[in-house]
Amino acid sequence: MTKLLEVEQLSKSYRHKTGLFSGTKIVALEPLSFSLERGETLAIMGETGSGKSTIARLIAGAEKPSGGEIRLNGKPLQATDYAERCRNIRMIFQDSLRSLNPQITVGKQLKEAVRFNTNWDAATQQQHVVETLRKVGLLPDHYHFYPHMLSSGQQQRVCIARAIVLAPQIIVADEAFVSLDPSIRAQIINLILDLQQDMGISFIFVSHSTEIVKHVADKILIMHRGKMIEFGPTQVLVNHPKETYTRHLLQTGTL
Amino acid sequence: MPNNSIYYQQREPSPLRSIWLLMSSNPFVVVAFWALSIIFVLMLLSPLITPYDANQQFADAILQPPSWHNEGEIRFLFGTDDLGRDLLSRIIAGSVYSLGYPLVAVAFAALIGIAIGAWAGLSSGMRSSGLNHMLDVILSIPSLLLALVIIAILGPSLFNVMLAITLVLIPQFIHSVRNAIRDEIHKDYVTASKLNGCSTWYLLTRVIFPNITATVVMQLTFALSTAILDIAALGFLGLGVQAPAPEWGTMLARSLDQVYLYPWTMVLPGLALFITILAINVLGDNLRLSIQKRVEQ
Repeated sequence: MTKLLEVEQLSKSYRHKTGLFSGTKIVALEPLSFSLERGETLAIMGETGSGKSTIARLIAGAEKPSGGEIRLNGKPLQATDYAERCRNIRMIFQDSLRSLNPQITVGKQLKEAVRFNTNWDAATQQQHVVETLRKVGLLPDHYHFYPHMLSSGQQQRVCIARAIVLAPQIIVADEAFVSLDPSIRAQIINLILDLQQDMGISFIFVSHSTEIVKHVADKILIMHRGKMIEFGPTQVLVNHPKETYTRHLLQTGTL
Repeated sequence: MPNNSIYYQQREPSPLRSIWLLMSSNPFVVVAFWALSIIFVLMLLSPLITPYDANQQFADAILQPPSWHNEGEIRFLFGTDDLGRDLLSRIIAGSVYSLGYPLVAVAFAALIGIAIGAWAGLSSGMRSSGLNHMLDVILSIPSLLLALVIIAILGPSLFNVMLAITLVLIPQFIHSVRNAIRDEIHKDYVTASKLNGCSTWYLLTRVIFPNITATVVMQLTFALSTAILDIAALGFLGLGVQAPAPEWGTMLARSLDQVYLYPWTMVLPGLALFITILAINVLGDNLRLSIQKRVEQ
């Protein structure tokens, strides 16, 4: 049986323009490969600028890779085919308020995803959005709220609702818990774990926090300066890390 | 029948309504809004409500002062000019030239400018920059001067004035819309919508446009007051709307040599022009502020 997600020789480099024709190449991500099974949780760790956000954005389709291939259930994904990708892979952004359109109500934004990816009629779409809001612990009333009227925890819930509204197979979260306070963070993580159990979603998340990673992740991927230095099951990496960098990161929680 | 609404329900005002609530807290804006609305309604109804024809001459009532003057007559509310034409009728009929035509010019300029600007904002690289700077040459010449150049070539007429003013306003729309879209398009919420699989048209009209209305409104009011002033200025110089037509600038020019003896022939059309432009500027400025404030609330 094929794996849910296979990443092969994925790489990303930017061209920093200095003149009309000249430019320097900046490598954000050196070629890396890994794979993910159904229902598994993968944590990506590393210091700032190590390329961990880049991986998340590449998998979600927010950026185009410079090389390599991402395969979903054995089928390669096209970089620009958003419609195909968003039914299977959804992203939760780092800053929840900024990833919500300030001028449109929460409900309409969630409906946008349903509208472009299903052929349901308007009433069914609406009902589905309300059900999704309930699933993440919000009320049907929140349908008519504008993003700035919600607290940051509720905004995060809306972002999660947007991620699960299409019942995807994979959710990618880019440091989605950084700005939340510990109790809400715990609530949100429990919510995601519940959803994972209910819907069988695979979850890829980028995080700094060793505690969350140890608590949630099945596998860990360690990034350092654009390179993948270690990848393996959480137990193995925590107890028998091969690299000193991994040991520092996971055992002390500080660098 | 018992009252069913026993629960206290907080209704969120719609975007338009909340903008109006913010704006109406300032009394000047309310005054400007009503002034402009009244002028606009007068303009639309001008063929029906003018007491006399704008060009009808009354030989028995030449240079009659306004009705509140001792020598005034109530049948000529604002008095008459040196040819015995009723000033009130001329001012009301003149609003078509002085407000209606600028509105049409701005509408055309906005339509073309916003379309090109949006196209430039969504594309990238050479094409974006090419579209953006396509009409920049026009920006190097002041609007009134360009209108003069076009009129010098094509001859003075209302159509040429409209053409000149529309042309001048287009590049400003292109620039402001393109820059506004550029600022928005890399924000997370646009990426999120893209990842929803939205079409480009939906992305532009439903996702980005609601967020750049403040810029567009500001540009619209700026363009409208420029257009009104330019048409009046060209009329004043005798290059735009031609003499018998009751355009406010033309009326000002005609009354110039009588201003010391019969001041009302100049003050009244001037006042109409002044109130219109002031109302548009006050309203536009506050509309933009309210749109911004609503987002920050």
